[in-house]
Amino acid sequence: MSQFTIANLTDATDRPVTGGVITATDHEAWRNDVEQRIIDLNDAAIALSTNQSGSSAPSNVRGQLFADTTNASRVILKVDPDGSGADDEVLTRLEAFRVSLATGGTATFKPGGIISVQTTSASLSSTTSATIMEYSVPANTLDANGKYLHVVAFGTKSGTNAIGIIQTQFGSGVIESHTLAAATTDWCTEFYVARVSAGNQDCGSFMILNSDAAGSAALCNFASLTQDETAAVKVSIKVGNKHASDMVSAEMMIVEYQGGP
Amino acid sequence: MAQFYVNNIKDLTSRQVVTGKPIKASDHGSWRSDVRRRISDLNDFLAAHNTAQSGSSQPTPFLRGRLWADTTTTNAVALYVDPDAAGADDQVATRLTGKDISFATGGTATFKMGGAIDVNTTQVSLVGAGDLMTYTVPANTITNGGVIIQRGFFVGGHASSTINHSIGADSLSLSSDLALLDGFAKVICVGVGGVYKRHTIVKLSSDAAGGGDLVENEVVFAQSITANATMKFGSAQTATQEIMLTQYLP
Repeated sequence: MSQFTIANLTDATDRPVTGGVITATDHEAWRNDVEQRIIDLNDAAIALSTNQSGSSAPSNVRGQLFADTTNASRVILKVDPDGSGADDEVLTRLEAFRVSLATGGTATFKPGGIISVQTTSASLSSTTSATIMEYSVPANTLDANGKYLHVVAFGTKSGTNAIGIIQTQFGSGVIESHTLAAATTDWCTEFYVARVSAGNQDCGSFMILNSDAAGSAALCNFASLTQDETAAVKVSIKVGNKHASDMVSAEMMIVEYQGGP
Repeated sequence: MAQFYVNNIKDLTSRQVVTGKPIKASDHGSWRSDVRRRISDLNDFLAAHNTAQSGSSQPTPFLRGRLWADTTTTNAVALYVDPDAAGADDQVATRLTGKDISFATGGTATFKMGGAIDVNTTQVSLVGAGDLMTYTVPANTITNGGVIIQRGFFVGGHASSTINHSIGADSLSLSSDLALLDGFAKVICVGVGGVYKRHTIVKLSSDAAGGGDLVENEVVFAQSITANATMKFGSAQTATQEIMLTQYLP
């Protein structure tokens, strides 16, 4: 790790020789000058090769890259956009999720996206309650307040003998047990899990059914949960309280991660 | 394309000339050779640095904070930075490569970045059956597991107004009765097995009209994800579409 102010580079001094004889003094001065220029160039090359890496920013130069090594085992690459300091962070695979990206206003957002897509159908035909689709959210995915998960799942219900229950869960916490009318044939649920503080989440879940047939209930709910995000936690779709001759399936579940502001 | 390990550069060897004595040709030659070598190394470094140490394998020894332009793929460059002197494995997101990067989270889950690829706010009104808003998803926009989400807001205009949504040549009704109501549709299209699978929800302003088909579970379309896919809303009766948002989530 080294830094060098490129503006400190200077050209060699022109030293014309007159009289036809090069004196040792002339030669020594010239050679010292060349030596110093090469020392500076080498220092600059070493600094540039690691993008001026260091725990504090190099001198301000518009367009200059700076590899911030403040944190052990991490490098945050920044560029100086205006000659006032390297404060414009470059997005990289390992660091992007920490970066609060600018908008046209003063609001910021951190990148997010889909972390799981499941399209393999799963169903339950017995009367025993069971999880039919789930995704294990890795430990520390919600490692800061404001980060949230958005889950959307679709499924079907066949048979009209009785109601069915679709329960949305984060870990062992139940967000809602949605009641599907006996006549339901298709369902869609969406739920959100937002970290409020370490070990505390605000969650909301709603259910949309193929029709507004009587018998559906508990179609929307808010729940505060206390799951440990520092460990793996499952988001899951659980089926329960259905007739033995009916069948409930989940056809698809998408889990989206958002980094918050 | 060139690579150069910067720690191999050296300063000039210090050489003293005795005042009053002639400069020996051998001394001068040695010094001159030294200068040429140092300049050659600096030139090589600059050539390598100018292309971010480009090459099909990363430069060694590893150097924390150094960039590397991976040229493994013809006519493309993936830019990496070495975060820990254990190898340049932290890819830099660029306009062309960002879509392919599996970004880290605080845990071991990864995600790819997406966003809105089309926003249509030009109102489209129908008097009778026809197409509402249309957007053609370019071929290869998503791969298997990728998602396109279309959202639309509608105003009904006829007692039996309906909305339908089509992908390519396949069209299916979304709601059996938009009946003079405002409505919202969200269409989730997932790439599975090289084609689109569609899941849809419709929300009407009221259930007084007895709306049906408000959730459509999985429908498999013949449309290939490797070809242009025209996605559009339509209606069998008088209807208006006010907005359509198309989101890309790889």
